[in-house]
Amino acid sequence: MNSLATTIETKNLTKSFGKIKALNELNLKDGGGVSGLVGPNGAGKTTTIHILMGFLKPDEGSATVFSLDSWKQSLEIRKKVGYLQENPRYPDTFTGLRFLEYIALLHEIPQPKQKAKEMMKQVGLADASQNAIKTYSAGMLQRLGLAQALIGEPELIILDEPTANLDPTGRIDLLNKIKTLHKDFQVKFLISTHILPELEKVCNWVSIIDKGSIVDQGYVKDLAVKYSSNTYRIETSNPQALLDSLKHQSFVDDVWLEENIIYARVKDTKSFREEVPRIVATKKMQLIELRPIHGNLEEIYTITMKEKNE
Amino acid sequence: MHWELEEIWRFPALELFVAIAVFFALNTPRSDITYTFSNFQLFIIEVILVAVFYARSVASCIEKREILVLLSNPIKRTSLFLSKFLTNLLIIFLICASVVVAGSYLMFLEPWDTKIFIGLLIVFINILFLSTLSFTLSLILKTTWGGTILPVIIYFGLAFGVPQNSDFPRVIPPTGSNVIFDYLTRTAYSQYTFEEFIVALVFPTIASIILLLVAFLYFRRMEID
Repeated sequence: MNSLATTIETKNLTKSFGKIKALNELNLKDGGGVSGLVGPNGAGKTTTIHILMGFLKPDEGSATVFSLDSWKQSLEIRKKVGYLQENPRYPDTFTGLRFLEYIALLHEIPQPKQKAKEMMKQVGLADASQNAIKTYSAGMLQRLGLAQALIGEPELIILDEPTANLDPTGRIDLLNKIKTLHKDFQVKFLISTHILPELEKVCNWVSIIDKGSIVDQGYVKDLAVKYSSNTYRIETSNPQALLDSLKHQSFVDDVWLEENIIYARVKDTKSFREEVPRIVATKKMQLIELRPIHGNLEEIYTITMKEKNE
Repeated sequence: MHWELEEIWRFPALELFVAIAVFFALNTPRSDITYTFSNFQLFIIEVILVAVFYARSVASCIEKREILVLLSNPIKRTSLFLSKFLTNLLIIFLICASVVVAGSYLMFLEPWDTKIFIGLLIVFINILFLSTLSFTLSLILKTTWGGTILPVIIYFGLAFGVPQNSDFPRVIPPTGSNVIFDYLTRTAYSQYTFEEFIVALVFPTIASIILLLVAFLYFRRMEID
């Protein structure tokens, strides 16, 4: 990693909309590289981002980006940060090229038209650059948003559900672009998404958020060690029957079912490894997989969310 | 401001409004200069133009969340505020001024006749007041329909619903329906003194400045989500 300094930091950040508490003493920080912000719908991810961008004022606590106050020094932050919002809306009568030219002007880029053309080409919209934005598909709008976020050559890019409307090729291109920008130009990223396998390919830090609070955060590798110790993943032909059996075993500390996969936190690894195949054989089930979890982001997320809800 | 101008330029209804303005100018009685420069038809054009333009430029921009795209880039809120307000004001004034100029041409007035410039000033003050009210309401309501309809209701409420006040007969005219907007014209062209004309100018100007300040402070602190 090129830089491990924290770029984003919130301290006891609280925000309510009427009676709904969207953020509840949120203490978020990033890893200084490519960071992921994950959580279920309504967890407070977009509200957090909107506070960081200066769209919303915190009720309590503080939010800083590059040590700048997100509400009072929003303009300075926006000079350094590119932002792609979820389902962005643009002035639909403009052509894509004209829109980007205006954004380049806002960034005081010399030769804005040239820069706009370059960005349209970079995101694969060169052929559609003279078409009105209203004729763009959802995927094209997402690419235009990405070009808009990149045009000012920001130090930090915040992406809110960036792959939501992209086809598989577009997703791969985007992930490669993130990797390249971070590796070659030290650009930092904060990526909010639901698609954890994709996030795992690029991010080194993850913050898990639920009901407006941080459930856990840290380097993916550290979290992997923390949550994978003595936790096993079991896939069988009859998960419910195995689950019922394991619940009564003394070597199992905790066991639960997620989408037909059994997760078990074990006390005695040796007994567990011996007994599970025996139970499966006794009950005439098929054991498809039995392995300790190795820090797959999806699994870390599953465990942390389960612990939070207990 | 370029952004705003281009957006307005691409607004397909603009040509329609210009056509309406020219139509009204050609159909205005030419005998009464007061009627020509502040007639009810021109007032309606002003009200509709102002309500539609500001609702489209401000309320719709917030409602559709286009403003998030703008504000995620390095633009000062003050610049955005001023560009939205001034661009629409300028365009609406140019359209309505064309009615005044066309009317004066049809009345065979000399191009440098002071009556034309007084007429333009009156139209500008009327539009300024209507614009600040519409702009403020659009910012607060944040919905295109609300931002279009409520200002129209308030404008007509002001024009027809303000009760006559016998204590201030020289400030609020004792008769007539267009108590606020018509009065400025009457003080300019009728038997009123210059001082009374200034007083008539000051009322909508101060009201506009106050409304604009309210809108500015609101926009500076406005949360967008």
